[in-house]
Amino acid sequence: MLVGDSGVGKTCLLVRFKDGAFLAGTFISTVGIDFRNKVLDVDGMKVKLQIWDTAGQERFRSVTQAYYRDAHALLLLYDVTNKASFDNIQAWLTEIQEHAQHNVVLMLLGNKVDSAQEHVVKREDGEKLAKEYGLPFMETSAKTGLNVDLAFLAIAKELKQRTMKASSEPHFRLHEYVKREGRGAFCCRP
Amino acid sequence: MSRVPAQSPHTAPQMSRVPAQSPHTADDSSHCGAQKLSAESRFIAQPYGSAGCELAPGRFRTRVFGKRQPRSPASAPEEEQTPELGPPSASGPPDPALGPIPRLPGTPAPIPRPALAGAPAAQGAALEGGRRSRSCCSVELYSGAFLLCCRLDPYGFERPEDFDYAAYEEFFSTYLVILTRRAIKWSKLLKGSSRVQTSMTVKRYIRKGVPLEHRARVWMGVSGAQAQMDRNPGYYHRLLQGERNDSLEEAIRTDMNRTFPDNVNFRRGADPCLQKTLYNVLLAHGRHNRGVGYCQGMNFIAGYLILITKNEEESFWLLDALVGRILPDYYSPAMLGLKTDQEVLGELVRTKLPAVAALMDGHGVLWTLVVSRWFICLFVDILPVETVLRIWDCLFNEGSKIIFRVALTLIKQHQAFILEATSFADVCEKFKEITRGRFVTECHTFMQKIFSEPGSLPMTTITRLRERCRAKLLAQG
Repeated sequence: MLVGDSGVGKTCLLVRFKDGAFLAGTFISTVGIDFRNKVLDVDGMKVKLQIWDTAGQERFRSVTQAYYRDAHALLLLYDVTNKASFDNIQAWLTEIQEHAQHNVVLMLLGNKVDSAQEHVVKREDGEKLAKEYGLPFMETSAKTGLNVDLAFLAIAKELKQRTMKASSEPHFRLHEYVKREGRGAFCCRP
Repeated sequence: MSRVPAQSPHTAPQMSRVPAQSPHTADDSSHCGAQKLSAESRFIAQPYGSAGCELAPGRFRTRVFGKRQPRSPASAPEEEQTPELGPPSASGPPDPALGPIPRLPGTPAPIPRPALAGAPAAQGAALEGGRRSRSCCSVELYSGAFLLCCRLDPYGFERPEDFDYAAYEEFFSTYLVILTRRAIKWSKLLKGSSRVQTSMTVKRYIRKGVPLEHRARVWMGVSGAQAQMDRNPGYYHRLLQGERNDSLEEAIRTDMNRTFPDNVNFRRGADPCLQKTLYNVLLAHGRHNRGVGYCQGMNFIAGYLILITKNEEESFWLLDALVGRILPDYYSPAMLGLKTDQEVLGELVRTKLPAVAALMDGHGVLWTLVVSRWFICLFVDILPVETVLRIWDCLFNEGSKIIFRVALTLIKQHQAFILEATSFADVCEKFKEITRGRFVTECHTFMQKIFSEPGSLPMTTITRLRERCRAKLLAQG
């Protein structure tokens, strides 16, 4: 499930992951809650992700809350060019603690890292907050695709591991994987 | 290729269809420009002007019309006996009873509402493609005027790449006859009266569709918006000059580029750009109804109101009529009315279509997941534009019960299809699919169905269910 303030790019991130596309100026505000499916190949095994995209406006939380408790994973987004969206992360985390399963897979993403606008939220700010709450963290760009597939793949790997109890494969560590595989905003621009 | 429907030889110019060029190459969506058209038909071709609009090389959303199917011979019957169709006598300038059309602030010139039926000025008019035109339009100008083969629909929405023009035209050739008949009847009904009175006749007429040229006036009349506007002169403009509220303004601004990016009039570069109009309407409403402020979804509703009324202040009063009177509290921060009505729909389905209710329960699909947008957006961007407008005709006149009628009809009509679902994801997907295709595009038949398919739906039942569901929700906290 994708959560975060209005306009941080939740739908764009999902469409980038689902269709590999970013079409500026074609996105509409998400109203209520939307649903998409994607099948991923995780180490030779098909994992079906049911992804819920939610409206960011605060009042819709009461509508989307019902789905928190069933979510296995949450991607919490903020916009690196919008300080308020970062400041609200704490409120989102409170919301999540209150309504989601206690062992829900949670990841913090700082989106729009491609933007030419000033990055008012520095990478270090995101890292610091993530560390404080023990969350895996990456900066992403739905526009360039930076770390987008990786974020969903990491979630899928983690969920697969949880489902396959007696696994002979080496233990998957979400934090380390994200840290190792995640790319910086400037090293991989086309 | 002649595109003139045989039934109405007087209505349409000879048309030819030029294949659309690749949208990737075009940056000018004023391709429907028709220099020789009269003012009213020019409105239709270029509703608000559309200079230099970027065209996205693909679409995020699609309004898909299903593949061509054989037409049922009994489609869209009309109950009333009407006189033989001839050239409409009421063509020409708009009914003087309509009065002067107020101007949109910031609009250089008033945009006349389309003249009633016939649009003779357009007959034989040479339709000249705009500069570097992407596609030329074959135009059928008639009451409500539709551009059948244009990449843009009459409201400025781009048609999806896979839009089935042939199937739409097949439907439209039938619908055109109905539109003609309705236009004649409406012009007689409204002749000489400055106000739309509510009556059984008006109700019957509205259910059969309000012609585009009368739509704004009828909506204003039956919803009480006109009365409110008359009682409060200058109020709208005072709201716009009111006290600043940063969070309200920011919330509205966030949605400006995310409201109808597929409509040429709402793009940032459009001239005049309706984003400003939309912003003003939403801002004024947020200041007027502080308990609600701004709720996402209202942007789409206000957008349609602006496209139909072409008037900022009227759009504001119509939005107020919807949010403040016609709909329960869908948009207030607690959204209790929305949650209640979703439950009410669930209860109605449980009674009328128990197999569907069992399916939902079986897969653990909450109604909010599949229908919240239906309620919040009043079917905007869910059903085809023309169908939404027909639904709104009745919504303004008969109230929120209409939403249940539409929802129940969609579900009942596709019951067997929905019941094929074998998983949670399937159920969600089916609920998206039932809002597309021939059934919902053929708006006239669809509107007849909503009054027959769901069966009896007395207001007392709705009220009772609302009370019960509301109490249950409140008890849950």
